[in-house]
Amino acid sequence: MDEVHAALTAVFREEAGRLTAALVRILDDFAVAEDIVQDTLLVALEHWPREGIPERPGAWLLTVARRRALNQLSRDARYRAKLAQLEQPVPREPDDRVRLMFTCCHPALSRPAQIALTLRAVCGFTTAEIAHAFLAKEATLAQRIVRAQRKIVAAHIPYRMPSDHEMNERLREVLAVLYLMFTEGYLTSAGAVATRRDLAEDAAWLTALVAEQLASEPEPLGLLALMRLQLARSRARTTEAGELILLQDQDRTLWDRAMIREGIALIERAAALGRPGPYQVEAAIVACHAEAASWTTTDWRQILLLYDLLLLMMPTPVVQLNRAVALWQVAGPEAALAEITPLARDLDHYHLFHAIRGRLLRELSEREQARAATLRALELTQNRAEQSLLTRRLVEW
Amino acid sequence: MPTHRAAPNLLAHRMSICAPSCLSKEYKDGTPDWCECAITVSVPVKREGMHNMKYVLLFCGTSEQQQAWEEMTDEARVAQYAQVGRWFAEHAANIGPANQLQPPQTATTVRFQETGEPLVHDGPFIEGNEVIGGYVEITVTDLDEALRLAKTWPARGAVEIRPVMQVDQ
Repeated sequence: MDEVHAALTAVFREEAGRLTAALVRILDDFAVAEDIVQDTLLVALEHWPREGIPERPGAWLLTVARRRALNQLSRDARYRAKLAQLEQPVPREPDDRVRLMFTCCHPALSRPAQIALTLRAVCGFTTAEIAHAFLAKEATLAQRIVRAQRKIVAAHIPYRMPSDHEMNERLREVLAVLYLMFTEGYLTSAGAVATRRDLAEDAAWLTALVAEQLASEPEPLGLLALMRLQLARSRARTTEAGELILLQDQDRTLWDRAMIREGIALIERAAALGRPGPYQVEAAIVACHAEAASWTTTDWRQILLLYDLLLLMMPTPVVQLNRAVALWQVAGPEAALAEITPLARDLDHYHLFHAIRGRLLRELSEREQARAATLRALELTQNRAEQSLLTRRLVEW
Repeated sequence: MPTHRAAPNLLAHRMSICAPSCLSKEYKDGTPDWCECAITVSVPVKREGMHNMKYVLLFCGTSEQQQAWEEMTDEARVAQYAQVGRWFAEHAANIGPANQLQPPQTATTVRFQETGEPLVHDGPFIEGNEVIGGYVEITVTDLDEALRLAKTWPARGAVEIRPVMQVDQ
């Protein structure tokens, strides 16, 4: 990413959500406001790379948005009075972007729509960029966005912060969206295509925004820690050719120590709030790895204990699968294999189940079965870096 | 001057209308002192800066659940009705027309052919295992409030929330 693009990204991140929030407030119509912002961003994308980023980008965007709104809406009686407000200078309102996120991530919307809307309305992604990041067709994605916008308006999904008794459920939803966004970005960043925007970085940025505004909630801090600790390893996790390097084979001197310290400090801040949750525990697990000098000297017992805790909070087959990797280190491959065998029913379509099963079988010298499991994993993943890693195993085993 | 009694427990955000038999006027600030009418009807009015949204809650279930309901003992059914009755009472301010429906075996469907010809057949429109057992129209401010109501529905199964098409929307 060159300097201009980095600067563009930073400005879009900082301004897009504020602009959407201001327009939703004035127009009282999420769909219209969101579309105007998208148009405005496209205009900026056309002008800024050529003419440079204006001194006050927020004001520039608002001027363009105002002009667009006047063009599009002046004939519509519903908006005429509201548009008059746009003529007035918009005062810098308190930061509304988290409120906007709660609307975009409303549980009444599908997960893909939640992600797309959050990226567009809060982060200033263009539809094309989202389509690119998720390897989706732009037309399909645009349709999904329109459908979600219509539902927000027709079903009257409110634009406001959830009340206290809803906060847990609604925050869980927002954090799930952010984590999915992050993992998607983190995986595809290992792929062959360079993107203007890094989904993982944007997800971490959004999470920081939530953590900052909901300062008494520990889980956003936990998620932010989890993201930072994973980003800290990003330089070590791929070869120059873009192939994935597993944690156990990574050159740990390439890990970003400052970012690891920052991640651990975040976990400590979260823990001080005294309400443990799954993201905090997952971050603690990653921190155990980050603090270990090598794979073999990792504190596996501690990790196993943390997985036990995580299982109490989230008794899912995927957590059981990950716990089995720790169990492998503590109690050997046989114990781990016995632990994951019953998961086949639930995880038969999950490539990592077969990949891990393959490694355990290989460790137990069951070569044929190991290869069969690896082949099954290969069939199930679309990710290029993972495909090449699995293919290498098939060749070497 | 007619004799009216003041209505008890008026909620601040509600407008009180004396029953038609008493007076046809509406009083925005509650029933006047001189009104001694025992019957008052409360309707939710538009709150400042908020919207009045109508939704229909469709109470859905499976045919197994429907059958279990039919096979219930009278006592169990009375208890169930009591719970549902409490729910209606609790949310009376937001509730409009509502009905429980007879089982899907009693349904008849008129289906229009491509030629426009109506074809009558025995059975519900929704095929398979799903059953709509009843509906209620509610008036609330937004989807979150509709969700809050739906989440407290005591009869389990599933509740589908559909916004009602409104002309000024």
